[in-house]
Amino acid sequence: MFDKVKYKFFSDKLNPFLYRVIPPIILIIFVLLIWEIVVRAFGIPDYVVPSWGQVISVLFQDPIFFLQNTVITLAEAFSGFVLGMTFSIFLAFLMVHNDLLERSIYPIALMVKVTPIVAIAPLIVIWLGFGYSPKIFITFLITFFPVLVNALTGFKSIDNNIHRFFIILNASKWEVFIKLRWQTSIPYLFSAFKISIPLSVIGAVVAEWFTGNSGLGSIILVSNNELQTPTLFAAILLLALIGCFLTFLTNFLEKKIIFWKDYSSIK
Amino acid sequence: MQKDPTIAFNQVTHTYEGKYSKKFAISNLDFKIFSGEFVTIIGPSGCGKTTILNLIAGLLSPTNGDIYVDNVPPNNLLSKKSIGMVFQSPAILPWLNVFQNLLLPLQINPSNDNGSDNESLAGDILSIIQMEDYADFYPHQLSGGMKQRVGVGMSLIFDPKILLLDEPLGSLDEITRSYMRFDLINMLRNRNKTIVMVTHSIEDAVLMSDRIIILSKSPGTFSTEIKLDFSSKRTHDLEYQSEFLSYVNQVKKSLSIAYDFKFR
Repeated sequence: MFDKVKYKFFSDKLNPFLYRVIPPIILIIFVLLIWEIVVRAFGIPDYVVPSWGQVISVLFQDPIFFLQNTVITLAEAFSGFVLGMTFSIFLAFLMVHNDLLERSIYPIALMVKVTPIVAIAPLIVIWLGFGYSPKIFITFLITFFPVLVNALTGFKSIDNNIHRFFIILNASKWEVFIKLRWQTSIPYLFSAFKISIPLSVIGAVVAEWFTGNSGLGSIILVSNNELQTPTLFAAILLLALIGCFLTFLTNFLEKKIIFWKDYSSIK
Repeated sequence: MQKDPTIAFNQVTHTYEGKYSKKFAISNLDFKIFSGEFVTIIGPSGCGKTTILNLIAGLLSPTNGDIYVDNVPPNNLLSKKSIGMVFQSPAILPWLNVFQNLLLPLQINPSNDNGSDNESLAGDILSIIQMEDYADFYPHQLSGGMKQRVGVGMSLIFDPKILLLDEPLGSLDEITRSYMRFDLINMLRNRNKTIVMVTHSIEDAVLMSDRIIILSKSPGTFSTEIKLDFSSKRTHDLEYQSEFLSYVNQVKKSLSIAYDFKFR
């Protein structure tokens, strides 16, 4: 009871954004401080663990270089994700209307999902070359399954009574899809996006390891080979920031789009 | 000479077929419902009450026997707009506000035959269900009773001749339920509609309907029927009158026979 009163006191004093942002920032500063102290105190060489100061200075020495490569990785991840999402939703649309298609496609989709992407990546490079297409295709492969499963579940999760009501109204299959199934699936799609969007970045980085001469994945590969650990850390830091940004963006869009869902449950 | 029934079940049997077995929902069921009647079908769980509504609405076809709605099988009805249905959990879309929900049936099945435009039609329904002040509210902002009123409104939008109520008060708490009964009576009775309701509640059945059909336990067959003819108006006071209590006891007795209970 006492804890709850204290909790409410802090949440009343701060605005909601600061209330959420300040605790992780304090923790990050604390971790960075410990990191710096340990590196200096034990004299750890920078090719093993650089100080965070070194990582930041590498980033600011050539910000354009890092920005360009970040944009390349982001573009690959985004293209693969959009392609995977569109294809999955289309496939789920076909599967929900045809049982035979569902039974035929699902095992193949599952096989693609369970096969490690690093095992297929070299083959894709042989087929598609070293341009952007293999990177986008690898990202597509890694992202499409979660969206497919969730879209299919969402399309099927329509309220039975509402469906009966639509049938009584003589609604066509297309009307049932567009006015009922599609809207019902949106919360499920957002759950899939929360998995697929970070996966798309992983897909892009893995693809760059195999095909890359650009992007944060190839920076990681090259700096690792040359023992440029501060550069390696800088690329990792940027990937983490991209992941956080995309996750926040997804959560923000989810709350805006699914405004009708009651978020006011007691924590 | 008796007029033609609006709804007629002639020796109707319906079975649900599983992979290895089949279950009889209703068996050789016979009854007639006439124009303007409010009939409640009541019976033990699993006796096929909702199946009966689905058969009338044409959502299912009988395994055996004939069903006539307005003298034709339900699937041959020229206009599906002649049947409205209200469900236990209201069939309203959570992403649409009250007004948009009322417009939905008109968008799916455009109404050109009554001359008035969709928005004014939805506005009229809004006043019938007494939700004018909540037109732009979303379902998650409404109480259970309000949601049910929107559900009733959606089913009234085409002014259907036949209204099917599938446990319309089943999801409400006892107090809201007792008020909603009279809301439904005010909204639906005296509108010259043929109403078929299925429910587990004896009080709902007695207070709202003209006639109660009691089904036997599964598979549902016709057990008996009770005609309700109150000398006073159907208001809250009726619940405390001996006439009401006498009907309730009569239904209870008939139901215990239908349940085939052996008291030990």
